[in-house]
Amino acid sequence: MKTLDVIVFGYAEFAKEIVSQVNEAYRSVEVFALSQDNVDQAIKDGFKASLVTLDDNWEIFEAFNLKETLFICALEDDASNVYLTIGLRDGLEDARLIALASTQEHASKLHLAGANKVISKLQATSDLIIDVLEKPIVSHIMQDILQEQSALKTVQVEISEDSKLDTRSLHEIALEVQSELIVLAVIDEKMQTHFVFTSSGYKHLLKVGDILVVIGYDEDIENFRRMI
Amino acid sequence: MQEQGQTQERLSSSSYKERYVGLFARMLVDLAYTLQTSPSYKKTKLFFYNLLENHAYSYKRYFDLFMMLLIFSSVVILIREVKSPVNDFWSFFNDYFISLVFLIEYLLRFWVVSDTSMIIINQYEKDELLQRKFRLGRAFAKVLLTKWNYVRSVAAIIDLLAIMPFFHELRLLRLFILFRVFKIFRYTQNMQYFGYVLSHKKFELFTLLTFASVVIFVASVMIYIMEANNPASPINSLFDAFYWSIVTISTVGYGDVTPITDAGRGVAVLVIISGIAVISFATSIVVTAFTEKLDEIRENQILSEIKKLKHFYLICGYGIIAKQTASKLRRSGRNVVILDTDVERIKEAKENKLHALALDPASLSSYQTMGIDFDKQVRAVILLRDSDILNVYTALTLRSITHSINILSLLHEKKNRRKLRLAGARNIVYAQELIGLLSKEYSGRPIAFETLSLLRSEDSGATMEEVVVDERVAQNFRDVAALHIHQHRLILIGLSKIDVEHFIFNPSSDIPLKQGDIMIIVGEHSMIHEFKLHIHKRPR
Repeated sequence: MKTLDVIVFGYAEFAKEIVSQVNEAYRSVEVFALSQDNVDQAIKDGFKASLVTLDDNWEIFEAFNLKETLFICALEDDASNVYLTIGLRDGLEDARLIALASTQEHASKLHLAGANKVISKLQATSDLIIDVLEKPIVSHIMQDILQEQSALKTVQVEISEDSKLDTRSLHEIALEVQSELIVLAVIDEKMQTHFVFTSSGYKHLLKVGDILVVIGYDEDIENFRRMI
Repeated sequence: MQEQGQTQERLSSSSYKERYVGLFARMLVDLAYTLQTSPSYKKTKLFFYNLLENHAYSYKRYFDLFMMLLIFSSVVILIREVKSPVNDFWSFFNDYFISLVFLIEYLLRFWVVSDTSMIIINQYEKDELLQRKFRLGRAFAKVLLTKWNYVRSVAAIIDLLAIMPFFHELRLLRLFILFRVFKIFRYTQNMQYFGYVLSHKKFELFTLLTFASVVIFVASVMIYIMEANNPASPINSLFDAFYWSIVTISTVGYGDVTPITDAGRGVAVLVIISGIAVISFATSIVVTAFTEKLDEIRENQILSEIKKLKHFYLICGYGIIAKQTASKLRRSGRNVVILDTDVERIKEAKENKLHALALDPASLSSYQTMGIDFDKQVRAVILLRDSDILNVYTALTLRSITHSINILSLLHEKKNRRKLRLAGARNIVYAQELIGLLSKEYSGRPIAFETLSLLRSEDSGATMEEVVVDERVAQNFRDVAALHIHQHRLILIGLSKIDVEHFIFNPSSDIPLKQGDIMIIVGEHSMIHEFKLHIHKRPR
């Protein structure tokens, strides 16, 4: 399911950065803040913003198609963020939720509250610090991919019903396309969250619905899409 | 006429003298400059200084052990000699070899204790600046003073006495071997700490000694008066009285000499009570001294450990991100040193088994106290202080010490990025931006995001690693094809070429490998480890 709309809760320092990063990439980005000051600030910064409370009045999101909408819980206060996440999960069962956690303890609470993905601010920052120092080239590549600064892209390609790749082995495909791009991993259609890295899962047989993660240049990726 | 001739003679003799002195002074200054600019001389002197005085120097411990071994063997030979003569080899070893080693050590210490050439140069430059004649005498006086200060120090006197048995013809001097035992103080840091701690209680110890001396003196005289005329009493001389007083006041009480008169026993009671006071007072002085200096001793211990670390990351500030970063670095086997002004945070870092010091990271004196070699020991400095102001200030302090060190700083507010860069931070981590990018990546390509996250996570089986092509690997493998990377179930993502400073994504098999290139490899930890071993193995 492709994300078209993004709803960001909160407008503190982290939420601001999220809004500015995702603003251009989606059909609509809307800020819902708990204080009027934050709403005013968001509007001043050029974003669509509304006031919201944590009182389970989720009917305000009825206008959004939940399958195409991503909710990002980025409230400054940890407890409020957990409460918001559990409220959204309760009120909007099918909603896709990303939540920001300040600590590992907070991250596990957000998982329990029903967030699909939790991004730990602390973990991500310390990981980046260590990567920059210990693996500078890896860190540079990752940063380039994230910031989309280089022509190198990491994309996910789903194997459709009419694909030539159905029933072929992961290793075979990886070797076949190795001069153009790298097939990094595959996510199994049945096991949804189970990753098979090409390096270790060379016997894995591809099926319709599997999603390949590939790294390569735009043109090569497009050729690959056409090929499969 | 005759007087004039004598005056002229005196004058010419004095000008000759002046010329010779001037020539000698010039030669001395030239020699001083030659020594100061000679790398081999400085290197040699530094080596001996480190060996003799620098506890952080890795070879010092071996030198200390060697010297302690010599001391103990010397004492063992002395003890053996009491009952039966030792053979010629051991006599020679003791009288000549050990003494010679100690003599060389003494002379080396005498040499490294001060920088004579620097003293001469300083005096010369000072006189030049003030446009006056070089005062050779003054320079000599300064040199002699620094050397004399060393010679009259307790440690140097013990060193000198320990050499005396070298003159073995003087039998009395053989007893000086015992002074060699005192040399152990030089080679054990804990003994030095003990002396250092007690030296801070000089006044209290002196007071105690005075009190004990007065009590001993008075008690000796009193017991002598009370007991000496009694034929049944074992106290017959002033020495007996003195011996009894010492044994009693120290609460040892052998019982071989005891008063028998009532008056004498009365004195004994007073001495016993005084003895208890003296022992209690002495104990409390030592305990207080150690309690007061405990933190300082621990701090010195940490400083000493830090100086011995080959490589470490220096983290300035111990907030929540620093805790996480330090803990991850420790788990990956890296040494970490924490600096923070907050004593509570430092206490927490120490509880987390980290080298931590309550020093201001933005102060030059903190680094002088640490005495570390930035270029050799510090892998990188990580600035994780509570504000951009503190990080900028600390970065500038570090840059004033060294230009080569890699500084990574956390950025709190976007607007300060340029300031941090100007202050010398080579890498800047802005957490807010990172989270924004991650959120965007996840919202657009959740599976690709998870894949990259897993490769960064230390808990997942797979990882993305940098493998350096060193001399051995470059010799063993000519090009990418020779690596047979797929056989190792690994993926070669790219190659960072040292000669072109360019990253080649998905390198083709004919790309040559050169020393210094870096391979970016994806695979399981164990497979990468095995691959690293394989490429370093000599080809059959």
